[in-house]
Amino acid sequence: MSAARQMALSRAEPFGWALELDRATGILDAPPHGQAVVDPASSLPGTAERRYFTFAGGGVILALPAPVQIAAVERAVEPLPEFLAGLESQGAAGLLWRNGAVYLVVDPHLLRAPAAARPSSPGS
Amino acid sequence: MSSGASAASHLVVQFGGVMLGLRAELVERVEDHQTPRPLPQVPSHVVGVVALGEQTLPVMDPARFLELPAAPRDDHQRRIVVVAVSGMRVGLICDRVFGLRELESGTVTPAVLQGEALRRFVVEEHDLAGMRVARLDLPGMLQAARLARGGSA
Repeated sequence: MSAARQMALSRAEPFGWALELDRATGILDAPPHGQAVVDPASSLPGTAERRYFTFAGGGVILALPAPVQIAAVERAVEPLPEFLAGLESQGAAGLLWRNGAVYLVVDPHLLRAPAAARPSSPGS
Repeated sequence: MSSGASAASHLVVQFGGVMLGLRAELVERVEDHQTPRPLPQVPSHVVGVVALGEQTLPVMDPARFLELPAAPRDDHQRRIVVVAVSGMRVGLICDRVFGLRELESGTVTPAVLQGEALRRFVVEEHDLAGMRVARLDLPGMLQAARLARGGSA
């Protein structure tokens, strides 16, 4: 049995993302200036509102669709199946099942700002 | 499924209106169909994942990958065929599973199946008592269909 961990869970149906909270240093309602934002749900319609996660050492900011649920999760994170290993390019390191839904578990170390990611700047 | 199967033993399945033979030793099991949970930003042939026991099984639609026409859906006949190749376990959505057949050199017939994507992974075609069965290069198809590190299908 794995120990419970605090996770941030975000859904933009039919997809979901999860992040271990101890990996993040902050949750913001707006992105900080001057840092690239990775938004894995950017192409999904109807998910305009975001929460922004910051990580130690700066680097990219992770945007996840709101609302974000904080939950204690006991079930272990499964590693990505070999067939899906390329999901690492989305920052995903594993999969989590919860209440019949599956979540991509984001590892901030795998997050890379895509070329199209625009650093936020004052006034933008 | 693999025990006792000869090298020519194949599980004959149907998807996209085509009957295909999957090497029996690569087939782990056949499951009733269940709707996969989708994943974001993946090619359309990667339809999602299902929970199979304690493990998560990625599921692909080989008809989409091989650019075959969608067949009328019949969930009574539809199955998820679990295959294991080169460390990958994958579920293939099949419209129908016919069972094991021996595909031997004596039944090879001139190739007539059309479609560039399909032809790329068909090793040869067989005539089994009037049924045309294409022997599929399953490892080759899965390698091409997978989401590989540093790239995608």
